[in-house]
Amino acid sequence: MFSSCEGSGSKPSGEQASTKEPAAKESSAKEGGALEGLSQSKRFRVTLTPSPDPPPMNTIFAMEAKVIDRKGDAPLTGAKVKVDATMPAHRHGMMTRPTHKEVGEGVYRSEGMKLHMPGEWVYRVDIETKDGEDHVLIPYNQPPMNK
Amino acid sequence: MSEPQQQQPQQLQPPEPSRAAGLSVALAVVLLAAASMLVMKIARGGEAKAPPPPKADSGAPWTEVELALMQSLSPPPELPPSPTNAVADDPKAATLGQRLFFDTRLSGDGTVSCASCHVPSLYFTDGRRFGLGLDETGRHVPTVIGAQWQPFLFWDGRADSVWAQALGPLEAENEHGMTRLSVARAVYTHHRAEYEALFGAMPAMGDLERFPEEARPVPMDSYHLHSQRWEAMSAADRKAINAVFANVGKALEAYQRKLVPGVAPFDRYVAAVRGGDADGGGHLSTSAQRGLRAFIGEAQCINCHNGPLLTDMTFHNLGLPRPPEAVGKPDLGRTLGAVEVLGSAFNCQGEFSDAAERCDELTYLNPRFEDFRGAFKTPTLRNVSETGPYMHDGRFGTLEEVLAFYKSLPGEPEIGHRELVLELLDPDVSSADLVAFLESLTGPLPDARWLGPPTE
Repeated sequence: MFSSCEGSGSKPSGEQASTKEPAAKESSAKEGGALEGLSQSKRFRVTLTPSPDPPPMNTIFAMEAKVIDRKGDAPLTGAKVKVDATMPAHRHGMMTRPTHKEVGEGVYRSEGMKLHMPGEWVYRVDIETKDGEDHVLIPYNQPPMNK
Repeated sequence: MSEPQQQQPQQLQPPEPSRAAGLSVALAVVLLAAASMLVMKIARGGEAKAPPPPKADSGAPWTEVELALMQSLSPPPELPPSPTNAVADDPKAATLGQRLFFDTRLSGDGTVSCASCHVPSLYFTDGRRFGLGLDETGRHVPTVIGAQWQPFLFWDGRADSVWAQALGPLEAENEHGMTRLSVARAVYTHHRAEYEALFGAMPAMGDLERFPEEARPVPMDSYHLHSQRWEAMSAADRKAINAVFANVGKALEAYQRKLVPGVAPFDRYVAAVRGGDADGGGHLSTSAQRGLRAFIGEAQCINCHNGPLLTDMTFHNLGLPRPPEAVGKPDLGRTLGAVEVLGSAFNCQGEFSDAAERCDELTYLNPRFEDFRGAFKTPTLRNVSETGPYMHDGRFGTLEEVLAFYKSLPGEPEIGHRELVLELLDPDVSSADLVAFLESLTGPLPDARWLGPPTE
């Protein structure tokens, strides 16, 4: 683990969600735009861009995570980065199992995301490098309607 | 033979287009964002950044947030493509499908057709608690009006297209009681010319050595006579029969694509309001307007009954208690349905699918999703006042009974757990108002030419 990582309780996934997610106070959800957050260790800054943006409710979409390593202020390459989403109040994740791949220049793409309900979701971005594991939590409100 | 034109829902236009156009994209984004914040804050009972909506009985003008929510429910959507079915929009396929839909010869004893349970005059339901084919089924018959938009069919979503769905009842022993061999033979005997005009030459069904009277794969029962006969056939002949079986489903889907929801009084109301008529053209009673306000506001119905079909088309466990008269094991719902659709030979990824592109819904489906246990699909509320009884097991005879359930949430769920955020419906919310609104969602039946077998 990164030295400054505070630990985050259980790790949610599409199969195992938790209600004990810590509040992502250093993350933000911008309506209709990028979703940004700092990792628990504060080493990585992540910007999420859904496609389409915003994601239509209950529709498969892709999510690209741009990861900046603040140590050197450079895009993070060669890491394993996964984006997941959970509804902590519901104690469940997504009804889908996304796939994950590195696109390049610090961008990682997760395909097969789906927010099947309106409400308060939390995007979780897991970052695995040779130095250890870290993650970012970014809240997002899914409205009960599409544009 | 005349070629029927594809029926589309009647499109409602506001009477004052210029005013409607005045709702700029930017404003729409603001409204959606505000609505999102408002509804979600309401849903969790927290502090709302946007002002709370007026109480349902206040009679106040619609707020901008309410207008945005209301408009997200109307008008009925345009027919989506069916990428796994190459003949989905072929008029000849629709006619063949229409003929098959009403043909009782597609049943084990010659008395049951698709229309036996999907009765046109009852909005393609049957009014019974449980479906009744050759025997009674364990679930209520859902309407097929609006099925085209569903990514997963059946209450448990065990099919991923309307054509694949159509195959299930044909081979169910308590519904049509056929086998894919007897289905193919019935088509060969009674509909061969129409079939071959669409799909090419049929197998040599006259050769009973190769194509027995009855045969089908029987899951979990390799000793079943049908199963043994099926396994005795050559792989090529099994594939040929499966192709015929799939094509029967595709013709049935082509017909069912004509069964789209019509424009309801609610849609006319929304169109009028959108056009600047504060009275909504008088299309909703005062009670129904109060019900609408509750539906999109404090009653939170819109959390699951959203979009223009008033369904999220996904699966939830409402925590329905086990009925006293229930026998047998609890219905696992989506837990089994998700596994079945992934393993179906007739799914989007199967060799009988015409999909040229990806099958995202299937590719990414997570069958181990934790809340699939005891979950069933949210039904459309279009025409809901005509499609009772309600719930997957038809346990509630009236909409009032459904609302009484939401106001009490009695007992423990039969299996799994109740949606954690499903809260008691406030008893002060008028059930009569909500029912009045729900009744306003009933549109006309599909065009009369689709309500019986083809006349030519």
